[in-house]
Amino acid sequence: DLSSGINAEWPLRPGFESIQCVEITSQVIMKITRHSQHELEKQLDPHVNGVLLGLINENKGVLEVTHCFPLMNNEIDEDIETNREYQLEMERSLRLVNIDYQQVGFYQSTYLNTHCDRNFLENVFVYLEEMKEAIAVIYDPLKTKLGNLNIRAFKLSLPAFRLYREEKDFTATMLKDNSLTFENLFKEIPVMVKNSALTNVLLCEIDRIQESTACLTLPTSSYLEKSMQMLLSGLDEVNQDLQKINLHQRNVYKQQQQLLQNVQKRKIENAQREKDGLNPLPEEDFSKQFKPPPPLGRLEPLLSSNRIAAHCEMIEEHVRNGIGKLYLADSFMS
Amino acid sequence: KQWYQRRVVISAGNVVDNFERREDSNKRVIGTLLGRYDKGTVIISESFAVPHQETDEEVSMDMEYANRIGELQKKVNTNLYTVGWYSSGIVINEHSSLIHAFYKCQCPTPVHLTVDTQFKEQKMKINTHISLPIGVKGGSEGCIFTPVQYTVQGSEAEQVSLKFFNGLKLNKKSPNFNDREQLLSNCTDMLSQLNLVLDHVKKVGTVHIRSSYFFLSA
Repeated sequence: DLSSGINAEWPLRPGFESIQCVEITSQVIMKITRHSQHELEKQLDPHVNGVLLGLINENKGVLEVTHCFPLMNNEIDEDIETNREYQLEMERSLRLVNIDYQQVGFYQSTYLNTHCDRNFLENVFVYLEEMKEAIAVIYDPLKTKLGNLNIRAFKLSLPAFRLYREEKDFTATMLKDNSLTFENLFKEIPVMVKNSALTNVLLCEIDRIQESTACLTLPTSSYLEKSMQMLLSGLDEVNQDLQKINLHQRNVYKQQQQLLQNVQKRKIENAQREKDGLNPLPEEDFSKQFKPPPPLGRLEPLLSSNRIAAHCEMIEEHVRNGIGKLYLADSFMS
Repeated sequence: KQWYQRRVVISAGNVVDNFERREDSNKRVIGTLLGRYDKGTVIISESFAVPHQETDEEVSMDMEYANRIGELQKKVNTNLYTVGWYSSGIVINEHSSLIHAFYKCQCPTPVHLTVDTQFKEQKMKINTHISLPIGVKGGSEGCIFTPVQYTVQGSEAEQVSLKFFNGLKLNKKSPNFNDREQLLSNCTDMLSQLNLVLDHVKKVGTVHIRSSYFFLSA
């Protein structure tokens, strides 16, 4: 039972917002990068995910991630079963060697910020339900290869979590009531890297064995191109969604018109019958016949708006740094 | 035959972590190394700890645990297999050869990695050994652990991470994951290296010292 030993009770406000910072050890980061690299070598698909283990330091409001292990990609059904057995087995075994065995979240690699989809939301929700301090760590291998280590931690914001608990798909009224927009769907928690003293000594030892000049690479067009493509496809999705909304509005309007027409007709008939001296027909409840079409789910558009915003931010940052590097390179040439 | 081992970084980190979490009764910790063979070199990629007890007279380890976790790891990382074992502390004694014998059943030439967590030589020395038999056949036989060369290598992403961690060693606070700050710190590093080279070149120019090979890792 994965939630054994994990606090499952629900004083929503105090526990949920209690984590101000996530401390990851360099060991965990190395493992994540290693796993991502490994998958890349094996099948050119850098999508990895795995489980994070650690402990919560409530006094400082810090979540410490001290260990992690990789999971297989859930492409075949057998993989899901194996993953589950693997998780349980690892939990049992890590207890024997004094490693923190409490699951505090999961990590996932992303490709140009496209991780933010329904699956991801579902996973974050599942982990949060078991433990209100759980986080999702996103690692961007592409950006790291370009020279900037990119590790971020996210969790669902409180209103988003509450809403998702009740409804799996949001409607526009729900969003308005909870003042939920794509900006406050996920909350980002700052990440710090913390090492023990011995690990620092080890790093000194390994120091200068391999140097990396990746950070000095000039901004290549391919990265920018890909980001722009993602942005364009995101905008396409938003466009389609707008069309759907339009269609929906028109349908609702049509329904209402028909309803009104029928009510009017009935009234006229009744007036006629009264004149003729007959009993009036009952004013049927036409609203049952003319049910309005169901409100559109707003979760997908919310997620795609989130993605688009992230793409814009990414492109902006990339270009900003790129221009700086270009000036640097220019001063070398002249 | 020369055997080189690579990607020792994560394993060494594991050893340190394991050592920090050990039961107080154990003076050292051991674990299995996973990796693969590649044209005469052994590449060590992963490792995991194995519970074991050791006193001056006897040593015992949980072999079933080692086998079980080894199998699990193989399922998830499909092209890794046992290539050796690690221990903390620089001492190699009969207990080590016993443990080594166990690992000999798992792979042809197990590699033994030691990480000196007690700073016998004022720094954390990492050594890799393989065991070779010595002695007279029919007479007293034994094995000797000979040191083997190793290099630490990693992919671009791993190198970037290492570089990032370098900035953390001296101060406890972690710097921002801000792109520009990382770029700044890298540029200042490069600047200091360039200054070093410039100094040396000037010296060679003016004092007519024999210019020695000056390796600067770019």
